[in-house]
Amino acid sequence: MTGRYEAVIGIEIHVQLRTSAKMFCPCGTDIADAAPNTRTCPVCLGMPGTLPVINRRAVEHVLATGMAIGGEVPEVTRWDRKNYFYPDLPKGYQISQFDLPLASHGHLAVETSAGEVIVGIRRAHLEEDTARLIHAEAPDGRRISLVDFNRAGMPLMEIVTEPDLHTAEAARRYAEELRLLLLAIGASEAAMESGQMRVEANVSLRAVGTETLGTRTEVKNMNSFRSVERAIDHEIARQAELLDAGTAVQQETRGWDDSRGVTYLMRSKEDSHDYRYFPEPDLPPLRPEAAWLDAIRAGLPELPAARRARYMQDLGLSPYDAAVLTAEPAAGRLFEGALAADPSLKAKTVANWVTGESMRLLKPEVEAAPGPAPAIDPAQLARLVALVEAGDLSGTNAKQVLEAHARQGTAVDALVEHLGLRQINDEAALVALVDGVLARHPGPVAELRAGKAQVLGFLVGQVMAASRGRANAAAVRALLERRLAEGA
Amino acid sequence: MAGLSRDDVAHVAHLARLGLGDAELARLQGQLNHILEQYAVLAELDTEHIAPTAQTIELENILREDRAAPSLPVDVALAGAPERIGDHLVVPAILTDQTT
Amino acid sequence: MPASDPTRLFAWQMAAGLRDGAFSSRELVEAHLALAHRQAPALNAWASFDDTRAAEAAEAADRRLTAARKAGPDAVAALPPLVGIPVALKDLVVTTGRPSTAGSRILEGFVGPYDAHIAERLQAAGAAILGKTNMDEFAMGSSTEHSAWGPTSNPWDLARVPGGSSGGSAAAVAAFQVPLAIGTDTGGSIRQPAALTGVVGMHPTYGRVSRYGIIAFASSLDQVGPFGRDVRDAALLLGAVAGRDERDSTSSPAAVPDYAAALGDDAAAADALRGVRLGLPRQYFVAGMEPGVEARVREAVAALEAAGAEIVEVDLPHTRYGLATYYIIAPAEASANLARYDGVRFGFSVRRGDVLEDYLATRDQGFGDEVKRRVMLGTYALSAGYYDAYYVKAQKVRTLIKDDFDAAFREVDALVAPTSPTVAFPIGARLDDPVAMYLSDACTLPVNVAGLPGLSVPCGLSDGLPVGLQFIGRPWDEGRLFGLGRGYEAITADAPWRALEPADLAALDDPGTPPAAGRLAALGLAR
Repeated sequence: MTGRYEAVIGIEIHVQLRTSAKMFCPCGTDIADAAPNTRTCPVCLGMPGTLPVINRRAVEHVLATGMAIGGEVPEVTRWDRKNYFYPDLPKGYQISQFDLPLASHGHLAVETSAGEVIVGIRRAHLEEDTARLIHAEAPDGRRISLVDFNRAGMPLMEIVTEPDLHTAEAARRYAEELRLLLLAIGASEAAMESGQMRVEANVSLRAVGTETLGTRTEVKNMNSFRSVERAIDHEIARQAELLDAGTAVQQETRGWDDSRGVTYLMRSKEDSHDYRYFPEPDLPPLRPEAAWLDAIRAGLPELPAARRARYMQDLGLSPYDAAVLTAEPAAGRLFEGALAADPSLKAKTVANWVTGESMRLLKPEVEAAPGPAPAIDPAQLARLVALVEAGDLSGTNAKQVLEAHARQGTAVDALVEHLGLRQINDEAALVALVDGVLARHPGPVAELRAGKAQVLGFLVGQVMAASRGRANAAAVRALLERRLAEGA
Repeated sequence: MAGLSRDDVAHVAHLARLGLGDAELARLQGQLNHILEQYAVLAELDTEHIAPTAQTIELENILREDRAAPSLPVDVALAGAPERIGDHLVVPAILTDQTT
Repeated sequence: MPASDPTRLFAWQMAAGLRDGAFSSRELVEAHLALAHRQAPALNAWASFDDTRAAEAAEAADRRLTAARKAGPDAVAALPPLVGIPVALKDLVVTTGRPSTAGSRILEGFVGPYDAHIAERLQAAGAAILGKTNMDEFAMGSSTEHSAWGPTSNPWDLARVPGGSSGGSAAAVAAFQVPLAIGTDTGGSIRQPAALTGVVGMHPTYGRVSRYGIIAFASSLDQVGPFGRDVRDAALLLGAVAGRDERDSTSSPAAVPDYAAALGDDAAAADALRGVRLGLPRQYFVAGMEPGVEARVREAVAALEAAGAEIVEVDLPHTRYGLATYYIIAPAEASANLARYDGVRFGFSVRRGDVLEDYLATRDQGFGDEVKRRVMLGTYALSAGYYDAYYVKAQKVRTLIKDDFDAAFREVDALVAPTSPTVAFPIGARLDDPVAMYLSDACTLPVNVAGLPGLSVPCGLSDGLPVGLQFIGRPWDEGRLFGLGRGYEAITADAPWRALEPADLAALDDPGTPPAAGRLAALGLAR
């Protein structure tokens, strides 16, 4: 983008909520691996005579999200019918919320390379998902769509920001941060690649220093955080090019083609949709009671921003470690668990073991290796760190023990004993090892005495080898120097 | 309120996905306008400060616990389908935007 | 008519006979089905019969009855009231493995994948469901002429309508083809046909009966209710189906009294009228009301007064706005409720190779004129730019109409009024004038708009055709309405008109009678 334009970006995110049953019927939500049309019932198929009943858990997820973004809960809310015809919409209307969303006026702070950005969140509301359409060709050559109603009626939360964002990076960071928040409160699995989280961006440009919003386009089909950033960047550049050429931006919906790295026209200038919203007569209103809200609030876990702040301020972790431990749920759990198992450990040290070696072992490609998936018990990690800190296990051997634990599940102490890796700190034993090496290597000893200081490393290595790695390397070094000085 | 023009009637028919013929559109235009004239009586009432009633039953907070139950067998779910391939229901390809 | 003909009995008499062993459920079911099948062409009251399941239900009921009789009087007393009694469902009650068309071609071929709540309740109570009755398409109409399967005739005059939309249920009950039938009432669709066929029908308080499995017309107005030939029968049927259902979020948790058990004998019922304060709404004696209808209603009111009821004239000043209010709200809700009939998942479907074209053709060919008219009205009332002027305005006037009733009920215990301003009109007479047709419900639809219970009982004849008297109550006051209706039956038990059977019953059995389904075509009014 040239420096003459400012981008104005608003983000709409749909997330499937984590429930056992669908939004308005008792069909299971385990649709990921289910065969087509095996999670349906008369209600979610829109059969004649059926009626919706609201899933309490889905409401609680939206209320919790509203609290987590510092939003407002309405005194009373209700559902509305959004009317349009499409083969993925069984009833011919979607039960959604129009003017009384379950949450409104929240915000989310995100870190960007240009500093912190506070993103205003206009509203979050609860609705039902549509069926899945697969475009195909029939055996007779007709172009058809295959319909799978498993997704129809899945609980869906739509979260809409104010047009507060001005860079693609900030938009991506907002989406990432929202995902962390939803994961933290357990509202959604929020996996973009599987469609549990769908991000749409409204993008417009205006001349720097002006207030009037330009014509906006809606960008869809972004299936990863990276594509969110790339798509918006591309769209900003595309619009800037149009404006530079004196061409008007058309209000339209554009799709993101990740392989070609461009947005393409999906739907030209939208006729203003006439959804004919009206209050859903089949559902009584909802008036969230204080006690219910209090219980939901009390159940909120530590939120990502607070966790990062605590890691840095209270535990002295680096921003990097704090971010990684907050962003990766498995890392966070391991870190918190290890620290809880042995509160005497230094948080920084534990964090290093988690974000470094542990995460390497738990990475998907390591997990994909033959044998059972690696797993690290937090208490065992704590024990490992304690052994290292006490000098009873060398760092190198500790990595070996951790890997063995992760693969076999065996306790750290047992592994250390079994592999004979307990570090040798006993002075007499070390002196015997050192003296043995000095006796076997008169040549290098002479070279050292002659001033060739680097030979010390060779001798340390010989001692370590003789101890099969168990000797305390620092102590060996000190002892070697002492024995040589003593003229041994 | 002004009456419905022929184009209005055609637009409403499209919103409702009713593929009405010309004769039917013409007849409906007359009938709908006659009915809409009856509605004009409501304009007599000052309802500015009256709350709307969407439902007469005074229920609130009717919620279901989040428990899954068995779904329909696919052959029952798709029993009435005009066309199916395998366990999918089939519709013609969607070639144009129709959400308006 | 032979004295032993069980079809002439009230359901509560059938129940006693079944318990005494005077006849079996199988005999009851066979007698009713034989009559209904024989008269089906001339009356066209049924959309579908279910002889097989009716026979199975009767056999099961007979086993229950036999076992209970063996076990003793306590076991017999513990049987549900409707064990072994034939019942009809309106053709919009979904049942597993059976058709439900709601009178519409668009549901041709639709077979229910589940049972409506009330169907489950009736099956559990041991009732034998004989089949489903004809109706105005999607319950939109006041004459049962708007059915894809042809009009139903009125047993009192086969050239006239039975009212609607539950005209099939009303006609079948009036013609003794079934003692009890389920209807639905969105703007008068139970009470008006009950009035026009001389039977008893009730629209219960909104929320009293679960709507789960009832094909929707207008969700905030639809209620399920009973038809019977007397008040006690209607009370029995309502008691069997009323109550909370967790699958209908608008179904009430309020306790359901034993309506039928609360009704006493004639002396007690008449005595209960003493001191009751009944409001007579001035606005319900509307212009266009037939003099004969007004005369019968005023005579009935006089009889109630003579029996000790206190009659008070009351005002329901917003009554005249009811029609417009109703004809905005109901079509608006219907326009959404009927969007699911798109030819994609079930029912009638036209395939031309493009989704939009398919929608347009399926819905154009699948829906009848009245349905299209109301879907158009409702779509328009909700559309951008008109929502506030029509839909929101109507919802606000709804509040005013409800407030009228609330104010009246501060003065009186119940209201008494005509059910329909006219007696049954000739088939075809109002088809070309929707507004005239809509006026049929002027006295019933404000009750739906306010969500109140209303009961229609026969109160005599005008020009040989039945007239209905309507009692309107406070929410959940069904029991009081049944008591008033029963009291009115008691004080008019000896009225000569009570001994009269529908005048055209004989014609129903005459093979020369032209089939009802062809009556519109015969008038040059092919649907």
